[in-house]
Amino acid sequence: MSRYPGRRWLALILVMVSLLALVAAACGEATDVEPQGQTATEAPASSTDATDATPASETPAATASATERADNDSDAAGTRSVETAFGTIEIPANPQRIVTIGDTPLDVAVSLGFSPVGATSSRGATGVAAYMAEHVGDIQIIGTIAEPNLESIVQLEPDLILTETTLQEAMYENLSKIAPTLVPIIPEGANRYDPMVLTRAYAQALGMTDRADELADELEARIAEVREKVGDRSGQTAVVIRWMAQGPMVMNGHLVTGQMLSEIGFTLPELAYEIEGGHSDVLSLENLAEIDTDWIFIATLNQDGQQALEAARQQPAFERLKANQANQVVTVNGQLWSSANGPLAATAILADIEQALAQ
Amino acid sequence: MRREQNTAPRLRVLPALALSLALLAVVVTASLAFGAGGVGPERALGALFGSGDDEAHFVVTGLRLPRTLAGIVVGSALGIAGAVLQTAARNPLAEPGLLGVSAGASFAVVVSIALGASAATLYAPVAIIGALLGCVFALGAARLRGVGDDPIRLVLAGVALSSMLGSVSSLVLLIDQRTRDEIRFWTIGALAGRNIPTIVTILPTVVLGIAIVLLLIRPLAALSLGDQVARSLGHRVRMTRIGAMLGVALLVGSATAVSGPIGFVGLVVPFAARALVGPDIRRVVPICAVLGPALILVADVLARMLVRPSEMPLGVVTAFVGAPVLVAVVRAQRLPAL
Amino acid sequence: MNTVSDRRPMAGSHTAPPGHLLLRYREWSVLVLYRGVLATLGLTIAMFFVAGLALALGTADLNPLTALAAAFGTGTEQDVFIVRELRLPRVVTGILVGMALGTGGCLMQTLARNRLATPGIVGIDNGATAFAVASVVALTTGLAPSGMSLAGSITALVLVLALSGGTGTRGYRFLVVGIGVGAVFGSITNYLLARAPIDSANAAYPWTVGSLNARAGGSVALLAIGLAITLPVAVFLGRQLSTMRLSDQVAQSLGISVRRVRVGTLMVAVTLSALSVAVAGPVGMIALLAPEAARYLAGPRTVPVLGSAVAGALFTVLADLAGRTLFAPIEIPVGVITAVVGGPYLLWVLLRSSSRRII
Repeated sequence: MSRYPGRRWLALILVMVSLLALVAAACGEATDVEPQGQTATEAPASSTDATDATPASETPAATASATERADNDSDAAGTRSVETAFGTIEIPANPQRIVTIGDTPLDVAVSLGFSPVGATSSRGATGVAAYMAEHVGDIQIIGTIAEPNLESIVQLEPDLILTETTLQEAMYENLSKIAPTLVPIIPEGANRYDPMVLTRAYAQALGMTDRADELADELEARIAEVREKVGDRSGQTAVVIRWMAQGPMVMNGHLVTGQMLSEIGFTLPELAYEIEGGHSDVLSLENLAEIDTDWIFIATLNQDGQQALEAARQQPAFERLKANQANQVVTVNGQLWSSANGPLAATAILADIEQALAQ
Repeated sequence: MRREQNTAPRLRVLPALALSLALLAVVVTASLAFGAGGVGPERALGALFGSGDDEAHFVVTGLRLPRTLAGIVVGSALGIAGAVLQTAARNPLAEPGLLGVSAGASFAVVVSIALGASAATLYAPVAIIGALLGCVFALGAARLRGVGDDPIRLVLAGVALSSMLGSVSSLVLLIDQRTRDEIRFWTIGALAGRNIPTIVTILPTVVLGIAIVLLLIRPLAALSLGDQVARSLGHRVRMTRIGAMLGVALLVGSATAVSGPIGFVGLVVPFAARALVGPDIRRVVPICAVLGPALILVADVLARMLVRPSEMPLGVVTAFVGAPVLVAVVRAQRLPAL
Repeated sequence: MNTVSDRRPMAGSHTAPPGHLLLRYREWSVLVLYRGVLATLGLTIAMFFVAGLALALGTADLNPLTALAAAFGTGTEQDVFIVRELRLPRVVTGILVGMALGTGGCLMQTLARNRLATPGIVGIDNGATAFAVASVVALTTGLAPSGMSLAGSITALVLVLALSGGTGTRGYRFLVVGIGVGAVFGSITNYLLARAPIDSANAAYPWTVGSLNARAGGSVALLAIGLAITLPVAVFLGRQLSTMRLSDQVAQSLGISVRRVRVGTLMVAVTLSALSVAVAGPVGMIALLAPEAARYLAGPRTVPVLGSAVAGALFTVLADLAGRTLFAPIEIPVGVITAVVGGPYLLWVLLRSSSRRII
């Protein structure tokens, strides 16, 4: 090949050009964030077809199933048109076989009255979250939240998949091939950690806003009940933390736990509300004054919260905190208190608070 | 054997040591004076001298002092370990982190957490065994014909070992998510929250490691002249290497048990020491014992001050400080060719 | 080499040296090694066999014949869906990723004259991972993780080039600086994972170990295009490199531009590695093991570029199959399997005193 010196240049130029082209294409690909919504007919399962001739917006007087129809947006009796984070899709109006990806969708689905056939395992566990276990009965575990097993999902023949708002696009592409995948939209400015906001988002998509209202009322009633049992806590401060060797991480005050605690009457430190994401960075041990509240709730992922408490007590800085001195440090289930969201979670947290304080 | 370009010793040992000690004193004072909280230098120094308020006193003696002590122990352990490893492997790029010794310790810690230990218990014996395993492989690879003479091949072997151990750790973490949640705070390295009992627990092993190193210091110096020369001088080459391995494992394991895996210290500190006093290990080790803590504490102070009220993880700061030094050294020196 | 040096006639080929095949077309001619061709063929057959197995086995085990029929569209709806929509893309992705990694590894090892060199060690794997993780934990908006991964590879490469002042005559300084840059990006990744809330950290996890689950289609297409362009170039470069094993002077006297070949090889290896990391994350060990296998089969007289590509595809699909089936329904990412299996082999290679030449 030495007779053709130009060929080597050609090869190098080809490589450079292809590299540039790939970069350009990658930038172009990334802006194309809107995958087309899939219609339900792609799924192999028995999904309802959109070819029914029934006129729209007829609300039947009575329904045999537990679900209720809402007024707006229902097309033909088979499917509903729903706005999701990935565009408008068609979902069955009366889903029978629901698969949930993530703890919160499972919580909300069960609260709304469905019985999902498949769910992902909760983080740190091999099954669903502990507080959900009694509500779900015999449910098939289809993998972890990060790596759901697509084949298991297919075998369940779902007609609707409910996911969290943070689903990755690549996973969405794959899931929507199996069944319509509902990734709800949180209204602008709403607190995404408010259990009712999420519940309403799902409920509106599924046409069950009445049931959502019922759930909101139930939650209010329960809060009032606990407030009575626990006494007047206004004027007392509390904080939810995770304890690491390097120092504490403060849980976001907007989370369900923060909301419940402030409903009961506690005030959380300002720092808790300035956090982005689920929890703060690890606070320096020199700054424990920020968490020097009347009550401290330590969230642990261990089964043995006592161990975590002992570890924290080994730090002299922790020893000095007034909550520790007054024996008002409570260890709680980390999974429930830091990342769970939904009506059932809120109820479970209230139960924990009641148990801790009403003594 | 191939060595880096010989630079004549610029300083004799005692002046260099004095200089380093002075530097260390400044850094230690800074470590006691500065922090992520509200206790500034004036209050802190006031507390040191007896006067001052209660909070400042607690912060300085209860928080910063144990941390500084931990930094001293970890720094000198890692610095000495790096110098010994570089001499035993006859390789200026040998560093416990790069060669997979730290990865071995980390892997052992991951396994022990997964098996039930919690973040509160001490990892010292586990980490030391893990470091020992990493050391075995690192030095084993160094003895391979063709690999040992060539620094880059040894480093490649170490990188391969580290990534393999890292992936096996991932397998464990895949199964046990609780461990994954705890370990991610440990792997970034930190001196925060390490208090006196922790240090006291690993002190025996650190002292033992240093003792082994001191015992072997003359054979190691001979070893750097080449295996044949060392043998002809009457030293037992194989025993020396094994002993050096043991010493490095003890030191790195203890340091990792306290602070988590911290890279680059074992690389940068011996380089700086050699630049000061020349390549003779008998001179380098004392300097490393002092410069190591200085580097760690500088990184720690930076870690505290950069993102108040939280702290940056120590491993990240040392990487950012160490990497430019590595680049500068590699560009300036003429290292053996591939 | 590529010139005919021996005029001993053989049956069927007039002037090829023993063990070689001379192919002619007009004024072009090419010498290929019998053993190399046989090795590549054998590996290809093995790869197709394993690919067939991968289509059949999984959480829902199918008869291989059924699976094959389903791949062509006949069979029950569920089977067809599983094979065509879930497994076939995954197998194809695995093949493409494996080919890219194997080729890159072969080129890199030949270039660096070291069995342990891979494109990843110059820091691009770590850079890609750091950027991809940053994208997943939602620190940046705009680019999807695949695009960010590509950007990370390019950033790392540019950094290493700039800091090492070019690739150097033997790329030695380049490699060392690459290791340093890689270590820095590695600690950045650890830091990001520590700061992120646990759910984001879990979602980012597949990107740190290498996974073929639910990969974005766009990036796979990019990889296919890149492979189609660079593979012929790589084969061409492989033949040049084969001559360069003699010595630089001999090669130059034969008309090869040594420096250009080196630069080109590096660019191709890095491109292939960056593209495959953008698809699947940093799948380890393939780039090390596939060339080993190819060299073992093809013998020392050739640089087995195609053989490495096919061996890489074979190992990747095999590892992914194992990851899917061993602990079903839990899926083990392919990168973990390759490391767990490949690591001990690698160590065994390192520790026994090697009598074979190191390239």
